[in-house]
Amino acid sequence: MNRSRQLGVGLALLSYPVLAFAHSPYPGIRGFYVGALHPLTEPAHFLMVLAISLLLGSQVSEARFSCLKTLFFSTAVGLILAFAIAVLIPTAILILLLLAGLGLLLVLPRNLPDWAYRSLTGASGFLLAMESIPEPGPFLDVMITSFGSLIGIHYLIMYGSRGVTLLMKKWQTRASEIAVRVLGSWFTAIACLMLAFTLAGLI
Amino acid sequence: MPLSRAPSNRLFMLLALALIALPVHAHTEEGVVGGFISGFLHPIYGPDHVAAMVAVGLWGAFLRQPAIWMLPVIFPLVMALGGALGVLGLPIPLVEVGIAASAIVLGLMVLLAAKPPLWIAGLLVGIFAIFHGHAHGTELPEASNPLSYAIGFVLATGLMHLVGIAFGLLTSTPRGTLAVRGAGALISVSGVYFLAGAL
Repeated sequence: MNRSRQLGVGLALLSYPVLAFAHSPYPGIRGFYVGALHPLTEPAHFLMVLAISLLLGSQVSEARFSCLKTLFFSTAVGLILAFAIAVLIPTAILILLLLAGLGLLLVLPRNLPDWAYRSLTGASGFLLAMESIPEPGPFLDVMITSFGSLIGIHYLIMYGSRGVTLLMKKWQTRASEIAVRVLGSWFTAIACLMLAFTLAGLI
Repeated sequence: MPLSRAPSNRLFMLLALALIALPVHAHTEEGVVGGFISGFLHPIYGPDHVAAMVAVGLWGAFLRQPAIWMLPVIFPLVMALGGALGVLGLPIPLVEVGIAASAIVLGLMVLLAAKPPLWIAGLLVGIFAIFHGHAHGTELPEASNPLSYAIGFVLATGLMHLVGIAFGLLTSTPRGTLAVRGAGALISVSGVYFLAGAL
């Protein structure tokens, strides 16, 4: 069979629709995935992950590692406290305010001390965790889903920031700096609009 | 005959490609995807918005660094504030006139290759951005997902600036400069048309 025919057969077979069997035999694994992917399913959370990744991506390795440690602990604390105090705190609004602030930080020339980066990362992890409370259910399921959220938030920001660092190294041009600033302005703009929607009761 | 030109092979490939199953998006006005599409298309379907946003990019390219990136950063930031005012129902007078004026003035700036101080350029772009944002904010389709609508229209705005900047980079040659200034004239004239419609 010639090459193009092989390719054609391959494409045809790939496009053949079949039922997906994605349900793992391991109990609770679905909850883990739900928790891990939660930041990707909420637009505000996803943008927050992107914004903090861009901010940390400009940090040197050691400073970034220290921020990621803070992120892990703040996310864990947030997940534990979420069950008790999430209803008392307007986390959705705080996330949007923080996102707007992070966007502005990306736009403006920044020379922040390390503790400021750690505080911002910690606040992001804490708020994202507070917004990731699993549905009520058996204790073990809730724990697995929360653990998934912890891993998801941490790994997304860890790999995201590392990816940004690599990209910035590869394209060490003024254009990449400008791209970060433009993205920052978009984050702030979107956060402001989302805040307005929230305050107007549209969300 | 080369294999790729053999009719049977081409037919076979075509059939194989036609078999690829894609999701159908027939209802675009609902949900997250619908909100995004509505928001993304909203500025694009408004020629008055397109004219002004492309003009911002063109003018930025004329003004060079740092205006080339600063103006497209200022515009969405201030536009979001205008959008927030619109969403919250706070009125701004003569929004449509302001939008038309933005096309006239920004088009003129490009036509004249004006190079005012950066703060004046930023102020001018910022003032006009409020009108555009307010219009977007008040015209939010009811069925749309507001969050993805916001993301869509900020993204579309940014991309239109990018189109303007890309076209504006032609200013590196004399003929290109002429073409860009001509585009400025066109935008300005279209602004007059929009103004006549608004009054």
